Amino acid sequence: MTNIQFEVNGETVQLAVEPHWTLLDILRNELNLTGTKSGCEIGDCCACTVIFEGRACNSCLVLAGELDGKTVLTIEGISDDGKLHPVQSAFVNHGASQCGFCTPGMIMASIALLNRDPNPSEDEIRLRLAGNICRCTGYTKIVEAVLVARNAMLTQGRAVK
Amino acid sequence: MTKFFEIGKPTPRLDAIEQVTGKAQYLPDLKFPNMLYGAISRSKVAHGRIHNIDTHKAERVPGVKAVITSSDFSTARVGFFMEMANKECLVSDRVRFIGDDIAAIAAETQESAEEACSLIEVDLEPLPSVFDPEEALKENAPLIHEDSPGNIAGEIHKEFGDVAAGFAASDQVFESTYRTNAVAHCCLETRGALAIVDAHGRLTIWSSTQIPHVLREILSMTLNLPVGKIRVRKEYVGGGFGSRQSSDPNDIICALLAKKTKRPVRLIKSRFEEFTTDRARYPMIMTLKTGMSVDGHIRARQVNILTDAGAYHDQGIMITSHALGRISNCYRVPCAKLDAKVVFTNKVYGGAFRGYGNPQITFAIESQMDEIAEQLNIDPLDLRLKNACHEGDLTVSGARITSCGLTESLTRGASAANWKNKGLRKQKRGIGMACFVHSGGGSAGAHGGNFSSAFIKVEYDGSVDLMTGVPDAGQGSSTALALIAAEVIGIPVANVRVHSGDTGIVPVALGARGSRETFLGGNAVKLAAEDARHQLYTRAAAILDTTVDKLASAHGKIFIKSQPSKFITVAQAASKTMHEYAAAFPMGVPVIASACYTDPISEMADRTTGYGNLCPTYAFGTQVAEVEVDTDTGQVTVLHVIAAQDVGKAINPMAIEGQLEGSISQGIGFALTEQIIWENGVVRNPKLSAYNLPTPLDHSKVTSILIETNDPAGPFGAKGIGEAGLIPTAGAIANAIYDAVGVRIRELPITADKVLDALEKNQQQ
Repeated sequence: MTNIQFEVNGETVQLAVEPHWTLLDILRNELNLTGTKSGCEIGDCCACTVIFEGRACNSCLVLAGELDGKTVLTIEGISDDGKLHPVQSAFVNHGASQCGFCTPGMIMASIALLNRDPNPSEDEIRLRLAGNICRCTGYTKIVEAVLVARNAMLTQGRAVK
Repeated sequence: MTKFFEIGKPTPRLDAIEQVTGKAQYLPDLKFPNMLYGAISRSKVAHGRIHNIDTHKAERVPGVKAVITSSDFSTARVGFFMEMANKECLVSDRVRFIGDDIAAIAAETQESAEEACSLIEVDLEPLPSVFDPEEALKENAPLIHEDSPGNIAGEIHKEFGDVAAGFAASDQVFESTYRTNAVAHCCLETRGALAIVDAHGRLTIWSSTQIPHVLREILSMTLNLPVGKIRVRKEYVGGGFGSRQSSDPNDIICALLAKKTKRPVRLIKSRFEEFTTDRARYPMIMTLKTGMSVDGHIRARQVNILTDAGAYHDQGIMITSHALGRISNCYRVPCAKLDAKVVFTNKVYGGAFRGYGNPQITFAIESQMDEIAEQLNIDPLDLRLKNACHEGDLTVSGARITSCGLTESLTRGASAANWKNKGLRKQKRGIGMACFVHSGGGSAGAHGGNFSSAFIKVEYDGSVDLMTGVPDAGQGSSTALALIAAEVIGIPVANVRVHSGDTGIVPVALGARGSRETFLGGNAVKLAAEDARHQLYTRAAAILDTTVDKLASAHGKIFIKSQPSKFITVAQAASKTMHEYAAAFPMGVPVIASACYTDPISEMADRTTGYGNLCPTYAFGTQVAEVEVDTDTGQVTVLHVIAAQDVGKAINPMAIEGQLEGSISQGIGFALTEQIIWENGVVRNPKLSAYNLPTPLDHSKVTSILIETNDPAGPFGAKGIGEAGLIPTAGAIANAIYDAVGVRIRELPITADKVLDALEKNQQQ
């Protein structure tokens, strides 16, 4: 076991970890942050997407050793005082979730995209979400929701998280 | 026209907030103190006789608490139809596909369980194996089940009317063979179970299932436990699409490990296991023969089907036999015949997948409709209109069509696609259409009656608890049912709490399968809600000094129809008794109602002839696809799909659109990219990145046109459409490809290499 320290959703975490553990294992098994889902464990589905050092990232592909001193944001950490993030609200209001299993990863990927580029086109949104698999929606309402969230964030001038 | 205040409005899922915040709990999110982790040791050979299974090394792995083999429950077999089930949960003396379940382990950690799995030693004598259904039929083919000579899992021979006479009376006969592929459900959450046995010997099992009550029956039979000792629970489920409408050895093995260890056990399939051991859509080879009059009327239709069942029985025979309704109920067909063989091979066994055989046969029917139209020089739209079924029809197979949006779906779909000017499209672009019929409310058959049930409790604050047997697997049934309850009682949908998926609490239903949730569940909820409303109105009538028949309700108020200003709230009516007791103890006598709805329409098919009105209602639709074909690479891009869908009545248009868009995406995958690739029984692409699922980049625009035909038996006229959207997609795309570049591909998936080969052949001619 090795000791590491990193930041999750604004809180500092100290943990003893096995080197073969992934960030996904640590979030789900050690920190009980089960909002991040496991769909394949090999980087194929992006259901486990979190924001790692400001970028969308498959948490199943990040090893424990890479975490020391780093910052992680998960689905549990994006609502301000219980107020939904505009991407979350848009997903709710536009029917962008069905079974909901891909939803946390899809939302984290969308937020990472909008944080880096506040005004992406529909094609850019599709390109940047291309790795995130959804079997239920056919992506139509997901892309619609991200476009709505983009517009809302542009008008609100929301501070980039 | 009746005005509704809740149904018909696009309504977000009631549980969407849980989903977008990560608070929705799925089976893999559940953990219990002392919980053990399970794993299954699986066959590495496609066919072999087991002489001995040595578990000693596995048992010695630190942390291992139990190793079980077939000797722990030698008779447990599992399948959709338990009377014909031939899949042993853990095999005793024979493996029949790579991935067949041999032994199971429960251990303190997942790592220990998996290590122990790798140390199970199987003394196995390999047997010759067969993977191709046509090979499996040959005289010298290896025999997979001793009691199934010729590897025949089942044969179907059914005829309605006189097909020979029908063909004799035809001016022209068309015959072609169409092939479809094995495709995987690819639910984002893999299958899992978590079982706990309490001190009384009662089993509670969480399962990612679509059928909690049916699973309880199956567990009762396989574990020899009374149903009163079994509670099946379902949390949020990450997709179903038919894969979880059958029970799986996984559920039963998990229960047995919990029983043996007396500790909670969680057993979840890996993505690899999901691809290699979970039932895929049955591949079919279909030879379709249609007799036509010169003016374009169908005179006779016959289909010969070879279905690849894989290694065991599940639903191959039932799914194949349903082809009969598909060939005779969408268009007016005076006589129809089905001859089919369902054949065992040494591959993972097939199962239900959204459409129940209909995506396969409809691909054949609709491809051939276009081939016929071209030969007879009739516009494909006109050919379909000429033959379309109508309301009031009694079809040759016995279906009574009580509402039918087929003609309207054709005309509106064609109009939205600008069908008349289709010749004006750019080079290499084309459009094609396809129609279909499917049940809009399940069918009698699998488990006797076609029913659902509901409990309703109105709290004294005017809010409602709705307990339904219908489990939501993502399709949105809970929200649709809440809308129905809200509409009937007259309260905002936000004041309805839906409880489902726990056999310990909710009343019985057949589960989320066969597009039956809205139709059956909705009717049960409507009946219970009407009972609750009557109780509320009786209380309100006394207060408002009127009679029940003069009352109506909406927006949380019960009012006199002729004087809407005279009202009391639903909360006041529900808590009327509170005023009769002390106000300091505002309990009230709750309004409680329950109802069971058994559809009075559908009937079992006649055992010998197959004749009957199998479904309580039929949903029709038309899709028009526009594609572009890259003639250098053979690559097909779907640009737009118009789905004109008979929905009966749209309870929640947002959810219906979502179902159509998602189904069409699965239909595009089925048509163009998805297939399980086997090589000598080994799945060569057992991961999502190698399987070629549609991604956000493979999108096509989807336009949904919802056609309301107000079915006389549906709740508020509604029909189920959960499966509908993907049934015609492949046919529409195949026809669009032909329109674009003149090649007719009769085998799915229509990959780039097939298109390129066909283009080259066309050029040589």
